Amino acid sequence: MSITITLEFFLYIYLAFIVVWLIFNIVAIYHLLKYGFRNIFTFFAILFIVFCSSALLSISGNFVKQIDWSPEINLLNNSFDI
Amino acid sequence: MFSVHNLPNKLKDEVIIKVIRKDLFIVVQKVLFFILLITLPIIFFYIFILPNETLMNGIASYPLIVLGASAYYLFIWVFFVFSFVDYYLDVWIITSERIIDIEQRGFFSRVVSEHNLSKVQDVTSEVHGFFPTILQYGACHVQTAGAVQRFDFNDVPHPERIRNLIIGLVEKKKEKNMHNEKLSNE
Repeated sequence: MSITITLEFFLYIYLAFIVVWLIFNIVAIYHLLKYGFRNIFTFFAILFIVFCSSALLSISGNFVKQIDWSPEINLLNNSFDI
Repeated sequence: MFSVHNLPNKLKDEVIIKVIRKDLFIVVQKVLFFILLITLPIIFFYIFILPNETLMNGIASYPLIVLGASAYYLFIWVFFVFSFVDYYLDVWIITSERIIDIEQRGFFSRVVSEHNLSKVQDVTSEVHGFFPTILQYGACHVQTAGAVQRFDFNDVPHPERIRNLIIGLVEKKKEKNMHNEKLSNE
């Protein structure tokens, strides 16, 4: 008996995490916009958060893009080919 | 967006005296913790994972390392952002008429409460510990006769100055109220 899954399965879990991560980032920026003080510091704080979040996401995306997600791994036969 | 020139439910002749946030040392602590969370996995990676060629070249292990590292750093970033939002949006505003406490609790909770200065009964300041004593930050407790009986300013810079400020404002407010009562009796 063997249960094989493609690496894509982990990629989908990761993408689901990215969606949640994006929602949390949007909520943080929404909080700053709605409840933060109307001043230059708030403006630059939001800019910094957006810039760093985009940079992190872009760096992660570059690493993820280079990987071949098609190989299958067998969970039960202990043939988890590392 | 909130403006100090546009207070919620602003009263007539109300003036903002002071806007207080937690001490900057609290931010420094958070940043240091954040740096630690960033550097520890890098050290772990260079010591245990990078020398292991089978892990770095594996069909499944390398993608999983990339996904794990990426998810970890994205999570740390959002954790830091929310720590900052929590610090930045937690404010106490002392006005000539009241004390307003705006508190951000976690991701989706926000509490705004206020006390009229005329209801303040007692103000206490506290400084405990090594760093608070050296850097002069601590707590200031305001006891009132209102529904929410105790107001706590935690980790604020110079709590004794805040106590003196509130006591001074409460006395001024009481004098003003007595003066108004006299005028209305006449």
